[in-house]
Amino acid sequence: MKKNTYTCTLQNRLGALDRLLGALTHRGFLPEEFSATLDAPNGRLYVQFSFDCEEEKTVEKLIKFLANQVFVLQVSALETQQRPAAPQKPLALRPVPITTPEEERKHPYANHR
Amino acid sequence: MIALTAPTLNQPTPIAQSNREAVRHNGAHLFLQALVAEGVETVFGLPGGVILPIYEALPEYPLQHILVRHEQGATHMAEGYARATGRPGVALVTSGPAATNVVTGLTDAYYDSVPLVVFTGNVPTTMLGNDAFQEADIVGMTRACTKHNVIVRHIDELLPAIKEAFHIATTGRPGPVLVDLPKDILLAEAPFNYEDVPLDLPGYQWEETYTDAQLEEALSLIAQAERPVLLSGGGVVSAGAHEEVRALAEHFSMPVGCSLMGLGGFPANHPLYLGFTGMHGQYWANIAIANADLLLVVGNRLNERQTGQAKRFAQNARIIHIDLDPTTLQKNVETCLPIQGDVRRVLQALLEKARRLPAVSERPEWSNAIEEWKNRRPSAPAPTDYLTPQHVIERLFAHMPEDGFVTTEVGQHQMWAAQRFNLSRPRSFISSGGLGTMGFGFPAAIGIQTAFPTKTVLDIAGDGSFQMTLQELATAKAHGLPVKVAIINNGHLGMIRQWQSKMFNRESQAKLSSPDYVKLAEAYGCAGFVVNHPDELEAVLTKAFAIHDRPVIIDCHVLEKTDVYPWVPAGGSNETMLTEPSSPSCAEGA
Repeated sequence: MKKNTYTCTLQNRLGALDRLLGALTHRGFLPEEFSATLDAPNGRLYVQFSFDCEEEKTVEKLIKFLANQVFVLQVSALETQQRPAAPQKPLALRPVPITTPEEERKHPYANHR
Repeated sequence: MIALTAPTLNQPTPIAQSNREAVRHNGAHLFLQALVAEGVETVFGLPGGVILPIYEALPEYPLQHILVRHEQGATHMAEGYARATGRPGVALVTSGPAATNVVTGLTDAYYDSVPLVVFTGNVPTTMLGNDAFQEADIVGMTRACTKHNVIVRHIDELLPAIKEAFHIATTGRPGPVLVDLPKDILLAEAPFNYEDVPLDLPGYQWEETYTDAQLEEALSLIAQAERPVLLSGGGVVSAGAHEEVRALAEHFSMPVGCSLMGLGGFPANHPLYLGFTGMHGQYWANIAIANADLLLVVGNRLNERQTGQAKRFAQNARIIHIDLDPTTLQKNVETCLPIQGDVRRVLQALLEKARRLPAVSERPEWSNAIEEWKNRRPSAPAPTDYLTPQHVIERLFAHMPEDGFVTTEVGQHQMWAAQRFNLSRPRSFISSGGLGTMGFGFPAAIGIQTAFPTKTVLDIAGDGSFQMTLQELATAKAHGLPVKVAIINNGHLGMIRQWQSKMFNRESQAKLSSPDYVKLAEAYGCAGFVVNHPDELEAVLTKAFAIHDRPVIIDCHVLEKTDVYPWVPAGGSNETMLTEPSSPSCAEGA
């Protein structure tokens, strides 16, 4: 997995942030980290976000799109980290443990069953 | 009993006679004055509750208003107007359902880079968020299908919002902008100081990054090429770069293919014209691109309808891609030389350098090869005793004057029309390319006719598409706009039937009934004709094209099950396009 972190400087206008979020959503980028800082006197909104994406081309297209938005002043990469691959999930279904009547009685929702 | 005071709508309130800026006007008047200041002459719209202040003031301004029957029609008319004139199209609608009805037109304009400014009404700012009657968050809804949109929340924001809207819609890569106007803004007052309104858009800059070195490299690649092709897209038409494309093509004796949006950007009667390219493009045009050693792509976003399977598109060629929009470069197809800049300026600079090199008068080997492909795959279908859609469209073009305009709806007829398009002016072929909006062509034709009332404007329609926006017959009739609609009536959603029969082996819900279009035309006060046999066609077309005082419908009952060829089934490579079943297979021929 590859963690991509970007900072984006926006003009603080109604809808500016929505367009950034909409672009992420439409392309299926689920932010892992997201923070925004407002410089109200200068009308600037600084957004930092990171997401997982291996495909450089897909990321490049997203960043170009964001940079081209009316209220976006700048988009720049903060860091790109190659993460260790996540352990593969077992393919076979695990057997469901059988609950004994004794355990079932101890279950917190027992009275609701 | 509560005494109601009617708002003063049409009388400016003088505060200080000595100061022009101190004369205050309500928002409705400010809006209309701003439109006049922007040079707007025509507005396509439909009145409704919250925008009544604007309609109350409208008669005082030199604006032509085209009263539509559905708001979708207003946006397509504005698109047609904009595409034909190059000036921004303007639509004005009310809130709620009227606002949601403009979404298709906005999206259509977004994909086809059309400068469109749409004004919607909304409930008063104090009511926003109350689920008020006909309230809709139209700015939220249209964020993804506009280049820019905004809701005006204070009277002081009104003029800047309008000024920004026109600036953004018409500069850089053109596109649609929506401005939402709550009712109280239209009643609040402020001075009209439009000239002094600043544009506060520091992030909106269309910088051109092309360099002299890139131009030199492009020139070197073109000069070295033995089998060059120029692919001209919609960007050539919208940038007005058609003369430069022609000059460059002639200088290097470079055959020119056009995308759907690029049709008209190169003269159809020019010896270097290859024709329409892409999914249903001419056989020889696609094969020429597949065999080219250099492809110069100008103002085209190389989407999948153009390229087929992207990895195999022009795989023998070095590709130079010139486009204003940086997001378009290297997006779908990897090119060896992306050049970002206004296509007209880039081509002018390229031409200046090119003229220092000797012109290439001919490329006999390359042109002979293309001629051979042309002869091997004639595009005209075999003659038949029945009315074929291809024949009807060919005859329609034969009747079109050179200064006319052709629009299409979306489907089989659109592709046949694109293949047979024979006009030689930019902005003369107007079609919904990116979004593929059935129902686009007829209202777009009305918009064009509004801008060019004495020119011939023809909508080549399908029976499925025309039924989506035919209520605008009333608009055309009421405004005396003699638009001609030729319905290629095959009783089906033809392209759907073709795909179903070839890819799913079963037709489903593609058969379509129609009203009696002659009676329908008469009911709307228009002229109506029906054609059932090839022998009747010429006489009907002669009569129909001679009518200039009212809209005309020509209902052409064509063969029901004719397929469009060439055809690159989705996901396939352009090289493996399917040709007419009577022809040998493409692979064999190529």
